[in-house]
This record gives sequence, C-alpha cells and structure tokens, in this order.
Amino acid sequence: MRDIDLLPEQLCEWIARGAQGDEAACGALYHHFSPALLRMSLGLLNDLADAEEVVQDSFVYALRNLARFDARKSAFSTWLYTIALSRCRNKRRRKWLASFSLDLLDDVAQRSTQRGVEALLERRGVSRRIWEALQVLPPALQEAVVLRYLAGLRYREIGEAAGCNPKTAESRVRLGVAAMRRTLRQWGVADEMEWVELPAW
Amino acid sequence: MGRIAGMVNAHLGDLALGYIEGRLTPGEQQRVGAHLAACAGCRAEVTEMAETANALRAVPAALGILPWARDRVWRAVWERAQPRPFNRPAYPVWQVMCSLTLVLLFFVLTSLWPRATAGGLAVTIDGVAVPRVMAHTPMAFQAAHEAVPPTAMHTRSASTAAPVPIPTPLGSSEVQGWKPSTSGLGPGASDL
Repeated sequence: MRDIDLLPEQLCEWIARGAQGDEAACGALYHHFSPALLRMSLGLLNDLADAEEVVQDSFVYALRNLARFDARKSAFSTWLYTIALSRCRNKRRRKWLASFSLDLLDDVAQRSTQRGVEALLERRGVSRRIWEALQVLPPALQEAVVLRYLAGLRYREIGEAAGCNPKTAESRVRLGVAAMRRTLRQWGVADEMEWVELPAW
Repeated sequence: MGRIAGMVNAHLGDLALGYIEGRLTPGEQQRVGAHLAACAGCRAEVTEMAETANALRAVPAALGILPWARDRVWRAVWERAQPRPFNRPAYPVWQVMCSLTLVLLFFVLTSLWPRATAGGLAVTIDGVAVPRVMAHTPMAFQAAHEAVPPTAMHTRSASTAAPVPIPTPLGSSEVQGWKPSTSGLGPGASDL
C-alpha cells in the first residue's frame, strides 16, 4: 500500500502524533502499512512466521524512531520498506547459516506454511507456480520484483529501499520477470497460465 | 529460448517493461510497437513477460486475506515500542568501564616493564648474558663460550676447558721405583 492511498495531511498527522507516543496514531500507521509490509516479507522469506516477525521488528524500530523520520528525504512507506528489507536480508542470511545446523525440524512447519500460501493463491486463481518461480530468483532480482509487484513501489522508491538507482531497479525487475518466465517455461507451465486482465499502473 | 530471451535485452532493453506497464511516452510507445510488429522474437518475449507480470500483479490481492494475527502482532509491537521502565543513566556506562580498564592496563604494564627489561628476560652464564628462553639449551653454553676472550679460557669449567698440564713434583722422575705411565691411565697404573 502506498502513501498515495492515504491523504498526505492524514499521514503527517499520524506521524506527528505517533512521534509523541499516541497509541491510536501508531495503531493507524500499523494497520495501514502492515499488510503490504507482510506481503513483501512473505514474498522474500516464504515463511509466514518469519514474515510476521519482520513486520513486528520493523514497526517496533519505526515507532521508536518516528521522531527521527525526515519526510524531506523519503516517503514514509519507502522508509518502512527500507527497514523491513534490511530485516528480511538479515533473516535470510541467518536462515541460510542455520540450514547447516539442526533446523531440519523447522522445515516441516515451513513446508506447511508454504503449502498454505500456495493453496491460498490457487484458491484466488493465481498459479502456485508463480510463487515458486518467485522463490527461486536470485536475491537481488527477487527483491526488485517483490517490491514492484507485491508492494507496488515505484522504481525510484525501489531504488531507495534496495540501495540502487532507479534505472538499475527497473533493469532488475525486467530481468527478474524474464528469469521467472524462463523458469516457468522450463517447468512446462508457461502455456497453462492465463492472461489476467488488470487495470493499468 | 536463450536466443529469444536475449532479443529483448538487445533490441528494447527496459523499454519492454515500460511498454508492458504502459509507462512509455506516446513516441516511445509507437516506436516499440513498430519494432514488435517487425520482430517476432521480441513480440513473443514481451507477450510472455506481460503474462508473468500480470500474474504477479494478481498476487497481492490474493494475499490480502492472509490469516495472520495482525491484532496480536500489534499488541506485541506496541509493548515493545514503549520506552524501557528504567531510566538510562546520565553517563554512558560502557564508556566509563572501557576508560577504567585502559587506565588499569596502563598502570599494570608500566609497573611490569622495568622488571622485564632489567634482567627478567636474560640470565647470566659464565658472565655472559643469554636470553632466558635459551638458558637450558646447549646453544646457551656455546654462545657463552664463544663470547669469552681466549685469556679467560682456563677459568672455565673443566668439562670444556683446554687440558691444563698437571704440574709434576720436582724431582719425582727421580723417585725410586717410579716409571712414567705408558697406558694413559695415570701414574703407576700399569703397575697395578
């Protein structure tokens, strides 16, 4: 969800009141931005429990440092995505390290979460293969695709959140989509996908 | 597929994604459209990319009803975001501790240094300073002996000194019944 869905005056008021410790304003910020943040985290981590933890940690950090947010430097949503993206990277790194230890038991729970997400997507008419193809992308391309299509950010915002320039972000999205298409073709499911007509950006 | 995949990269680059997302200017849109009409490879790839991009754009709506505990997470977020119950001390504790440790370390080192340099690191063997770590090695004795001037050779231990002539008693060769030893075992050994 982007700032544009929210009146700028309303957002500024929430931020100002939240910086003074107003629970209602902080709650409004959380309820407005957390679903998109969860989608992004889930797309990158493919684990609902991990994604919830990232959302929680990101908001704890954001609410503690709300007074330090500078609206002249970036949009509030970009600031939030930057915080969450950093935590997703840390979480993924730790998971990668833990994959060499005794975390085999967690795999069962994780697989059930993945199946849950994929089943949910299929019930809503989205091929689970799209989700699977997203998960096998290289990290930089995956981040760009997730920020673009799951979080709905502009290329300038993706560049700010991912630490690259907008042209690089656009190229990463293009390469990511092309790589997903190649993967789907290798899996033999490219021709099964239906064209989903959606409104233009 | 590899040949076709490279086609958009080479011909259209990022314009392909802009075309799919409808972000191009009318002039760019027309130019890309003309290229796609003429280039079958790019047309096929752009079509496939559009299908994938559209499928991806349908994901957020599908995930919108995720069964996650948003309210429970909010309670946890709010509790964790509150200031800590104790007040932070006016001075930074860790900086003070580090400074004290550094001062203590300085005094300990300055008190040990003169002792270490005054003789703690060396021992004297036969009047020659030898590193303490070499004190019990044959090299230490060799080093000590090589350092002593030749005039002092006779004052060293018997094991390494040159043979000193044994003074014979005056007129002993004239002692009755005594013969010089030929066996090297000492005087009179051959007579035993």
